[in-house]
Amino acid sequence: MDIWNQCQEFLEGELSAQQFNTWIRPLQAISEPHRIRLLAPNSFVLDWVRAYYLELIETFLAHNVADQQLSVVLEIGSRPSKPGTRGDTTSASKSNAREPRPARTPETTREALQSNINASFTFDTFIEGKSNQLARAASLQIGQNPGKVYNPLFIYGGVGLGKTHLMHAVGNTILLNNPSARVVYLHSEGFVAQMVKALQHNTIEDFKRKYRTVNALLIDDIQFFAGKERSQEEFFHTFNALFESEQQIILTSDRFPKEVPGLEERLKSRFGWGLTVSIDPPDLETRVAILHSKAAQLFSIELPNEVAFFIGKRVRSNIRELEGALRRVMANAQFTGKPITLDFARTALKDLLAAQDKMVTIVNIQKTVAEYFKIRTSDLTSAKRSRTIARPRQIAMTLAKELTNHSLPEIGNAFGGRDHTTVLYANRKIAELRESDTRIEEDYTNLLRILSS
Amino acid sequence: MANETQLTLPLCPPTPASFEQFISDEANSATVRSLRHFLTAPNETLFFIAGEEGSGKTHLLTAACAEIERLGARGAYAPLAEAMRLSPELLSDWEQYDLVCLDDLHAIAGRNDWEETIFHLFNRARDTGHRLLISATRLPALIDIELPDLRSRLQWGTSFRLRMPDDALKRLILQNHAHQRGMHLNDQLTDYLLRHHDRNLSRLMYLLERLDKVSLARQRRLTLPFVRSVIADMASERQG
Repeated sequence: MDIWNQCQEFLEGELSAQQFNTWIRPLQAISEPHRIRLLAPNSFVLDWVRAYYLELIETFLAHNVADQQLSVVLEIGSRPSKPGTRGDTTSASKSNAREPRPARTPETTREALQSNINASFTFDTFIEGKSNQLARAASLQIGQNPGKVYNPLFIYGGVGLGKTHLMHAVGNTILLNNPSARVVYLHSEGFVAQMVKALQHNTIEDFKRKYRTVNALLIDDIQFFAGKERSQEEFFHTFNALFESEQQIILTSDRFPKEVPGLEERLKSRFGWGLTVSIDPPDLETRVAILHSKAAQLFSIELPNEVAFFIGKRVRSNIRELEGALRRVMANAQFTGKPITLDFARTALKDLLAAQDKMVTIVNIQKTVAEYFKIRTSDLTSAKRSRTIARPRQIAMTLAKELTNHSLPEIGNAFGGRDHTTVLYANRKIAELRESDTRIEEDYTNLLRILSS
Repeated sequence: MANETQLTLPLCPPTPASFEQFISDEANSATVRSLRHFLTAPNETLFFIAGEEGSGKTHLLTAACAEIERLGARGAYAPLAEAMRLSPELLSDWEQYDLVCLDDLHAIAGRNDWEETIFHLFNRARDTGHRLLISATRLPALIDIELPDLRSRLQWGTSFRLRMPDDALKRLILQNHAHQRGMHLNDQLTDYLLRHHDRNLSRLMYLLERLDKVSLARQRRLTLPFVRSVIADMASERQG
């Protein structure tokens, strides 16, 4: 056992499990003649270890090592991580981690960036539905003709609806058609962090060159650029360079470009130069199709249809939550050895669904709808029958049926003691109007998005 | 930095935790098996454990951390209930670890700086193929996380809720734990602790740790009067 292992064993006995796991376990040691280099993941951990544990470490070493000149050096950095593929934890071998790796710099992240398109996010694994039809169609065209058809492509929508999946799908298609294309995906926060490091390391010119010469730049969640002026300035120039040289830009955000707070106007206007498409929460049929696809893709099983419908009906807000519910059922089945039936799924998801039900209440729906239409909540439960009140009331009732598990009489009751047939009528009326009146359709999907996010 | 309080963590497990030491009923055993599978299965990013205080969350997180190291990979652990007094910078670059364990996530709910840091950590960990193991008192949908992007990500992974052990299981856990520390906790004393001291397992574990230290220092065996006197000392310390 080497001396650092011995020292760790000593510290494990001296410190609480949490202290040990938080401050000591993250350290990596490199033995050199007359010194031990301890690598900390960041300056915060380094300062902490120096302040509270270094003395303890030095005392242990002084008593247990013959070399009286031995010193301990604390640095930021890490040894190379495992060479294995994703998920292959067991292949990670400490023997592969010999040489120290300096703290991340723009130079060292460059290579990683070139291959960061997630191969599993393809058009084949993207389930098409009414809610994402346009976004998917536009992305497909861009994949075949990057930089030529719609530039930039701006995809917006609530969390967990597949924006990132579509971006990667375009990236994968571009790479399939042209394996040497430089396609870069990164989260806006990654862009900011790399720029800050480039400034610190005086490598800003490399940073600029890198991003201004890609064939496709995919930036996720641009709302996180908010308030970061220097990053926005740099991104503005990157955008212009790519746009002028007809290289593809794809951006995502949680809202329409003009509505993203904290972004410079000149960026907002540029974001609208190409095509702006939204992704809305999937309808029931799409949710069921997604569940079948995920079950096959992630667990290689055919999910019983009644189970898919049960989960799809109960988990409505976004695809991440759908996947979370599916994972829970699968894990329960796998580790209890029971078959996946409707009753089993119901039991496995009991507390999770109870948690979901608490999120959207009729009161919450009434409040949100009233705010949206600028009327009073009491109007919704009143006897008033003017259209400016009746229509929002019908929308609210329909949303209550879609988003909660209350029965029709319960919903009617919550809206000023109305009969369940009134709720039924409201549902039919709104379904009809959503087909014929684009304004109602827009209001309904907006409210659905607000309540589901 | 110098003025900040060192993490004292009074409720910590006094001995390094392992999965083998986690005594559980059938339902919690399924959680442990699922968690161990998560540590090595491909294409996994998040495992979420919900459970009340004293249900064993910290035990499982520290056990996972130790296990990942045994497998030759790297793990790190942050007790957020304590760490939230520090800066979220603590988690900077933690995506380099194969497994990042975040204990008591509910503690940082509503803290924008922490929520955003964990959101970015999640994205980076996922992009690098690394894993997150997160615990909280409640399931993700019930924690008041304000950042919708983080809230939805927390609901993405496999989640399990730990059941609180019943009294029979608590008795077994306490006696087993005492045995590991070289103490003999007989049935009478165990009953006394469960009936008169506290039914919360975390606090009972803390008491055991204290009993161990004091009995060693005073060279005393565990007897009812001795246990009573240690409990009385601890109560007066709290009041003081």
